[in-house]
Amino acid sequence: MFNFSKPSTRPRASSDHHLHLLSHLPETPRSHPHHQQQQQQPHQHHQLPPFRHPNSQTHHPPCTDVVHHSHDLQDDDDPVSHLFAAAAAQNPLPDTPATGPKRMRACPDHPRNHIDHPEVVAPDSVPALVNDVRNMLDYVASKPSLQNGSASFLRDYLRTMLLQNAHSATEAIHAANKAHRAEVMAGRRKSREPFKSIPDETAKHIFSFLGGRDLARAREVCTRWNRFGSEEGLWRKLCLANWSALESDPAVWSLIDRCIPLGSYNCWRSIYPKIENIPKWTCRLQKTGRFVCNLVAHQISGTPVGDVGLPKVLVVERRFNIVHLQTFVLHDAAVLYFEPESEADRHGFDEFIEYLNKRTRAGLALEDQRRFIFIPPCDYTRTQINYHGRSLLGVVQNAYNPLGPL
Amino acid sequence: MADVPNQINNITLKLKSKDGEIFEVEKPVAMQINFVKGMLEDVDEIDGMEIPMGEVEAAILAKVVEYCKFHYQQELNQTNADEVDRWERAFVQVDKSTLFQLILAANFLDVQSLLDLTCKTVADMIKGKTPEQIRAEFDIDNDFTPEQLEEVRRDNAWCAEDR
Repeated sequence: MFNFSKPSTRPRASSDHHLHLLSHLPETPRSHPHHQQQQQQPHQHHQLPPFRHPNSQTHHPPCTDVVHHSHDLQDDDDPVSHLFAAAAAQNPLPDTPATGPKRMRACPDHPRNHIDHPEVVAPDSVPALVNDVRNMLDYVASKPSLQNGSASFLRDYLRTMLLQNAHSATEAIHAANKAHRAEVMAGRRKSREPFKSIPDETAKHIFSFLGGRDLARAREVCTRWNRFGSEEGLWRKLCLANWSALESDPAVWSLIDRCIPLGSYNCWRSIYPKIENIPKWTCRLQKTGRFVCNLVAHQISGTPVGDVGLPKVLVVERRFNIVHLQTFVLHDAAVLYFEPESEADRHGFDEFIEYLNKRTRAGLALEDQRRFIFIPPCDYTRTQINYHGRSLLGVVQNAYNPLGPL
Repeated sequence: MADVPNQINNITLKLKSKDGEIFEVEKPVAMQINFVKGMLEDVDEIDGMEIPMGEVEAAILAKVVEYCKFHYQQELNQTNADEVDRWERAFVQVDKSTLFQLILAANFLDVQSLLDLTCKTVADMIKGKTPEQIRAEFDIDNDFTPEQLEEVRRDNAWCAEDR
């Protein structure tokens, strides 16, 4: 927990009346705001001040209730609250209550007037928000005409109040973090290293939300993080999110890097940088008039397909015998590896491969000047593309004249 | 909580923090805590039962309880995703010490969605930072030997241009 007991001197919009209504949480003010009451705290020797309406401006000897509550609500070690408590002992409560924002300033003839902080309660503290809530209750109580209507304005009030409170709290947290960091940098304070308390399993869970580059960089932080960041499980997950066939089709690996086979030491972490930037597209595969499956296409070689990518829908309109692939496919054509987009697409995908295989045909789809060829596993894929798996490959090339032996 | 219309929801459980604070929570809210759920499996009479929540302190348990309340409400009212997202982002706007205690509590009490939320929040603090910035962010000492660090850096040559 951060220690917010040091008084903040930062000016804040509504800080003026933040303190003068503090008391214990359960004691919701039920009295009319202007009604004065006195309460006795069992564990305190001072009387609590009555609740006051935030807008009342009566000027009065300052700080009395702050004295109580700062003592009440802050750390016992806090020098400021001790000071205030001491001051309180010397200056018993006046009979009439102090009111108004001005009370927050130290009175010139007051013994503790050297503490001239406009605000004593930390923004991210229960008293600060409780006080806001009290002000709201006072506000409602002071408008009898609103009692019978819709509470919509109250919800507005609450929303604004929360936003404002959260804003100041966040700022306080940032400031405390920054101050702490500066202290650590200057060597005046030992680092807290909150991560130390986190068990390994949980730390790995944290790392599972990182992308590849962040995970790689995290390894350079310290030896423990290096251990987490080297976890093959995390890298495997990152790879599969990108290219799920890496697990189901070991033959893909040799298309990417012949030196990194599936199952080798640190294979997932080693292959990740190679596949990270391989372009991929999803598209819908159809035979004339009939949906086949959704595809993911990864480009494995050849002229980059580039930003144009693949069409959203590829319709296989023609087929030709795979023996013509040698002559038909251009040497610089983009080579693609296809996989079904999800498990639901697997069936249609496998059927399509079988359909081409049985007829020893390659499929052809056209789009303007571009030709998309679907190639089932065959001699061509084995010898020309060096792929020995069972999946579907493809090429993208521009049309040439004559169109070739169709 | 005085006038909950639904009779079934009127069963409350008392969750007790390590420092002895008791939180009265409606049963369906508390059942999102798997630790509590598991404990109730062996018990017949649960109304008013006091359940010790291990090492979880009041300040953290209070947050866990609010999280469960929100999620119960959110499921009941089908709160839209943006709203949930906004609530959750505000929920994790806490200092780091609280955030890490929340992770430990979510882990111990077995509240998966809370564990995911808090772990993701920490991951977001790591993202986009250099190792040096990460060390500063989490107060971590660099305990590598120069040789070890050199080895990791060699592995990371592919993303070195990010620095």
